[in-house]
Amino acid sequence: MARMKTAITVGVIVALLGAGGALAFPVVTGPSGGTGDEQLSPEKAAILQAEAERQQQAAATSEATPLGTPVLSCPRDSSGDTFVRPFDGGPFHPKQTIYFTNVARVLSDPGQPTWIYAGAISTDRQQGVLFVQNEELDPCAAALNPGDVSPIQVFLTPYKWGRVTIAAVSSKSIEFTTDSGVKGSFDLAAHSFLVDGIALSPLATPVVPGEDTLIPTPTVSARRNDESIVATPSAGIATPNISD
Amino acid sequence: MCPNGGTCYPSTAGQQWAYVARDVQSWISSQGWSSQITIWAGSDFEQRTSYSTPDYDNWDCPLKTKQFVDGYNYGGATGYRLVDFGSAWTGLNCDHANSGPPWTTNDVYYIAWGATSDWPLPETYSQYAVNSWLAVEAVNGSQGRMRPVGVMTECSTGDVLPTSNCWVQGNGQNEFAPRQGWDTLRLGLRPTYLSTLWDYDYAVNIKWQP
Repeated sequence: MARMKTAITVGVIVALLGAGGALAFPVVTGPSGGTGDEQLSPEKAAILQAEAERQQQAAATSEATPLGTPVLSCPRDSSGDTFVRPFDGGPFHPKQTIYFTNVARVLSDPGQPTWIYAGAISTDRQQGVLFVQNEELDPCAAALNPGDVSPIQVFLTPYKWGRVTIAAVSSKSIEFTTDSGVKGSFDLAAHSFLVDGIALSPLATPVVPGEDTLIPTPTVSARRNDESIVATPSAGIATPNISD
Repeated sequence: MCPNGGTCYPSTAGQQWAYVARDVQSWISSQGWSSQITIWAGSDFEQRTSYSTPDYDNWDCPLKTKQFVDGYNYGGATGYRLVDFGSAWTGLNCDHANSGPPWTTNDVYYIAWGATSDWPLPETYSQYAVNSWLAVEAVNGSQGRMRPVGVMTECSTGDVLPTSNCWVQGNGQNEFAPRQGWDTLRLGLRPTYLSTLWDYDYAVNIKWQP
């Protein structure tokens, strides 16, 4: 008997590992030869036969309940934990996950959890970024109406400070550090960075990452949204490479 | 998996696991879903890959594992597949004192395919892992070719999984993605079974997170 690699290992397989199972997905099959059934032992062939018969009998039963009946609503408890933890996956294409550092969940408004993913964009490790998304309060309803899914808002750091790491969270803001040593906060309501008492707007208009689209590297045409603020980089802050 | 918790013989644990598969399948049938869902049991049968700590504590010797398998197969609840989604490492002594009998290809073959209800779902997270399963097939395939239901990898990233290397948080390495493992295993078997290569139904992933 082997011990479990993770607590969920065996349970997941037992729960559903069959046609349409939660973890199982069909893949495109390559060129193939025979079925090979003739090489199965009678005992194994009997198990396959029993499976097939169970499925056929159930399919012929008028009481069979279609699995595809949609659940229209499944509101969930919106309280839960506030935390910061290492990045462990999220609603991103794998190509975009390379430079993530960590993720936080905060209750930005009463009853509305928000997730913040921190890191750098995948095409430029020096360009820090925060991804912000409201947690779905009714994931079933959202799944039926994809247009209602909360968008992912993308906030690029004003300067190329390197990867962003979330250090702490509160209900209205997060505190962060960067690879270049910058320490500051990000206001979740105002969507602005605050460093050394100076409020800085994100670098570029937020974009929504798509499966095949990497967050584009900011170009020299990108400007700070709030030109009235003059940021004076502190010691250790990388010199901005934006020309006004 | 022991009755009422606590401890029990491996064979008893295996028997209980078969009961779980049977009972869940019965419930699925009672809901009218068994035309669409079939329950298989599974276990991550693995072997140590080194003598270093803590690897010797993680995986059992072949005797105990085979007792579990026998309990599953011959404990009274038959007809439900037991999928071995583990590894096929052989050659290292197996117990805490590094003196237990090493796993052999015979042992792996038995728990993955030789026992009546057992089907392999090889862990194919690297070329080495694929090769270890190919070695089992090469040595023991004459007793009856194994017929994997698919392959399994352990990527930590979410959907959509990549088709080539993926990040594994559990060990901090890049490993094979499901499709990559699926292709590599079939490629390895092709010289032997050129005209009768199985189509594996599934390429699956289980996140390995510390």
